[in-house]
Amino acid sequence: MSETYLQSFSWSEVAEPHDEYQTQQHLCHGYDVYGDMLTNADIYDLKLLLLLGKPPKPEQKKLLSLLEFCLANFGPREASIRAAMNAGVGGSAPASALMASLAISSGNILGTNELQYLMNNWLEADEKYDSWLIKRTNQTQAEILPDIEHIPGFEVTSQHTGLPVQQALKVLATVSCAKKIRYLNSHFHLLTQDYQRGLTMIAIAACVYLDLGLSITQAQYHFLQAKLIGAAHHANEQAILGWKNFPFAKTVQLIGDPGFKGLPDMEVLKP
Amino acid sequence: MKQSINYDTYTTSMGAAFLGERAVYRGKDLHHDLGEKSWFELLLYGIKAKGFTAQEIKILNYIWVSTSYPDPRIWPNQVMALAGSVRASICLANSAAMALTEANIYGQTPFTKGFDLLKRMQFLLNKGLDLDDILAVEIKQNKVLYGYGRPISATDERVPHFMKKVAELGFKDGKYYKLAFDIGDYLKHKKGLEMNISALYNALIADLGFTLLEYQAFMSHCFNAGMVPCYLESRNNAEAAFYNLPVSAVKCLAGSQKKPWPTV
Repeated sequence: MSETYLQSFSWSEVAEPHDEYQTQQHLCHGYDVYGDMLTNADIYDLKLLLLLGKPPKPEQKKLLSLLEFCLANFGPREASIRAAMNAGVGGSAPASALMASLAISSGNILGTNELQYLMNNWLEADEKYDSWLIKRTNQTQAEILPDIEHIPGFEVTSQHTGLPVQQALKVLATVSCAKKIRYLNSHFHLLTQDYQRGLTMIAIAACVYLDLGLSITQAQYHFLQAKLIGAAHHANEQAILGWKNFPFAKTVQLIGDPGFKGLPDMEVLKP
Repeated sequence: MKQSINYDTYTTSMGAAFLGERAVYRGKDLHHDLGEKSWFELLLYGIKAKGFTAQEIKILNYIWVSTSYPDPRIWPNQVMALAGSVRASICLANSAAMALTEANIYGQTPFTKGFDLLKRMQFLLNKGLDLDDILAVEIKQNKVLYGYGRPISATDERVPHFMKKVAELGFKDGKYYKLAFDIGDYLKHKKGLEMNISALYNALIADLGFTLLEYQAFMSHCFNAGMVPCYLESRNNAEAAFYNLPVSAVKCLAGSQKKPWPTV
């Protein structure tokens, strides 16, 4: 019997009697993952069991699966997906495409820093409209990331809330436990009017995570992995489309160009 | 309203590749004008767009040298060792390990917040405030003063080595360098905390005129030389040999009482 090397709040494994490296059972909060759960539960049961520590209610599963649907693919214009496409087009490994995508999804636009800001802001948001207004906090010291320059949860330039965001709100609001989403669905047009900017999908994500009772860190992990589906898809698609079908500006306007200074004469340099 | 974007051209002052002809790096011809530089000097030129004296290069280089510990137990290095052990590629492992150094209790957060602390303290000192008063407010407001205290060992062995180098190379009279020690004296007296190396890195770099972003750019590589050997060793060891864990090595804090999944 070895000493403990790692600890977990949630996960325990039962070894085969004669093989210390082979498992008989994997228990998640006491539930047999490959036994009981694989037969009687589904992936959203497992995801929410890991997140919440207990079997979820059907409406929680519904809410999470709808959110994942909404986050799955932002399309090739979105920055984290474009990052992944830059990996795909050059034949980089799938892991590099997803690492590129994750890095870009950590920032202030559709990224985990924006998500954190929103969840902090809307943690106490309730039936009072003013509680939904974004409060700018005065930073007392520098952070690794700079301040968010746009209104978190809202478009950088567009003044309108896109139809997909409205459609997502409408469907998510039908789930019984989606309290914050329901308020947002009935009041987003007022926020849009006040800020003169459209609501974005990350605002919906923030509300879903708060409605599910996730911590900010849990929400950030979920958000990152949920966005990877589109990144993987478009990276792979771009690999198939090939580099000739990937943009590379034909010319560059270089400020401060020293000009061509010639090349060494290879003929005189040959061995 | 549709913005007008010219997809065929991009405007930049950073540089360009004129393939088959030349490359320009921040206003200089890479091959003609910068070909004699070390890669380290080129990186610094890429960050600051200026040259550095030989003494400055030496002390900046020592920052990287002094924090490159190829100990596979150190967390980013352990990522390298795990990658080597399972035969993942060195480039992906390296990128991942570098990403880890943006951590709260070591690496980029102490560099960022500690550097910012010195800048803010100096700003207030310039306004005529007293350092003890400023620090009392700072402790109340931000609790942790990055650069002071070390999670595992109270004394940071890098500090005396770095101080020696700084003295030899003539940087010990810098404004921020002196401030780092003044803060250290206060915290040692009030809290019993020792200065760690990040306070001195932060101070030295502030004295060299870096902005916070330039500092972050420079320090993003500072642990890298310690990482690579950890990959190489575990890659040369047997497959899956890096702490290959038996089932009993993991302890479940919630116990291992089995429960039936509730079926409706």
